[in-house]
Amino acid sequence: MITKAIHSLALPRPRLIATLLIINGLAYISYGYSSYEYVGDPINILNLLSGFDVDEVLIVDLSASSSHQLNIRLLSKLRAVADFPLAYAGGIKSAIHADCIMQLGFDKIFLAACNPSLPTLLKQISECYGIQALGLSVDYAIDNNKRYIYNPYIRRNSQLSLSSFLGSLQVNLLSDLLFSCVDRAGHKTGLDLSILQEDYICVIDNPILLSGGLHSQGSQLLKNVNQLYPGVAGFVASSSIFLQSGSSSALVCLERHF
Amino acid sequence: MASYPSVGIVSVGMGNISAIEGALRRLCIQSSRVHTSDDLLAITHLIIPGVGAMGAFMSRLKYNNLYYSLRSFAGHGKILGICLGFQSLYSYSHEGQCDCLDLLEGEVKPIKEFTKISTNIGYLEISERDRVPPLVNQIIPLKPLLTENVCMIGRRYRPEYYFTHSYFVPVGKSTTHTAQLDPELCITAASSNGVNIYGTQFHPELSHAIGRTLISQFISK
Repeated sequence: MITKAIHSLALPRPRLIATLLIINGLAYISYGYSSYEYVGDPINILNLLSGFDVDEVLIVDLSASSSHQLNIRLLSKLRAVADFPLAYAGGIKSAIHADCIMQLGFDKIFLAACNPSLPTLLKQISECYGIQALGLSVDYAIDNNKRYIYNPYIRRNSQLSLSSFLGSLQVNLLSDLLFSCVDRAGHKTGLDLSILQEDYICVIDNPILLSGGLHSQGSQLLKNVNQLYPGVAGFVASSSIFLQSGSSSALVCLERHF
Repeated sequence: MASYPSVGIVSVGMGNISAIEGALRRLCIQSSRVHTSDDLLAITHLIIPGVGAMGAFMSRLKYNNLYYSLRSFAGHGKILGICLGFQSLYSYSHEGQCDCLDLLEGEVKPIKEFTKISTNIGYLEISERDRVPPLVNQIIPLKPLLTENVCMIGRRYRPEYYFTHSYFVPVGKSTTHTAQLDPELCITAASSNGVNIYGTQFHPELSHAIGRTLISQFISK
């Protein structure tokens, strides 16, 4: 109880972060990283999100991850319509890519845990933009009650356990750590909150973000997030969560897609 | 020098300049980018943007011959430093162990040396410090412009500002507003020399309507 009270008094409240998943310049939602559903034009959706209780938006460009080409034109348009923090993930393979994104006015870059150049990139980007501008997205899947790093390129678990990965990671070079449970993504079955009890998570001082399985409880989710999940820095959910829980008439045409 | 407000944003290859330009566009305010000392001649208001590491930022300022020009501009122009730009107004930063612009007295220190967290990211309310100069009060709004009887739903109209930083400025002589980072650590949220130099640790350009109000009030001064 005391911890809860201190948390609510002093620390920043948990952030609600919407993910905008982009494939070939269009917005999608994903189901377990295996199937995708088209939801609309990303600029329109970002405009709608700006009218909701969204603290930040994480733009994930899946096509940039596979093609290694950044959609600069779209990203600059997205930056122009958002008056809240924007983070980006997808296709960051070098410090030059990171430079391009930051020059567009983005506030943070998320690197992928399976990025082969991760140690080098962490050092280069944090030296130039500071650790607050750098986050790490860790996709994991659960197998026999153990969590393993998930490799989206081969669409299966790597042999690397989450605890081993975090043990070798230089967490002092980055800020947000985003843990995405692949098994729960898009299924709205609830967050994998048990990860917070793991020893290898408890020793990390970085802001912890959870993703995968967040389900809308209407306005209650948005209003009472502090009480529902004390001790977590933020939650990442598909943009559809926010759009579906809204009641504005402006959403009527969009809700057909969800 | 121009007699009307003319806004420039320091551009040395880092910082979220586009986000600030976007906020200014929403306020129907035109701005230009300041790459060299000559660009300073045409402006009355200067914004030093955030997002970056101090060592790299100060190196780039010096490389672009802007270091002494900015100090000189502070003698007559109005300056708003945001996040990294705010920290650069102080004398010294432990990030990159470098001297800064020395327009305000104080040092920039790492958060992790004073508390358990290493980075502060999120929305925080700020508090006014005692005896804030009236001019500063007019620039940094604590309350949203919209009154409570106007039916607006959502966090964006709450008096919260977006912070993202791993270094901070301890409360000092120039501090005008503070934020409580954790029960033990109170940091400088905003500061001023009381005349023409203002700085905010938070990002007004990312703090929705109340943030834009701050920018608007800075420009109108």
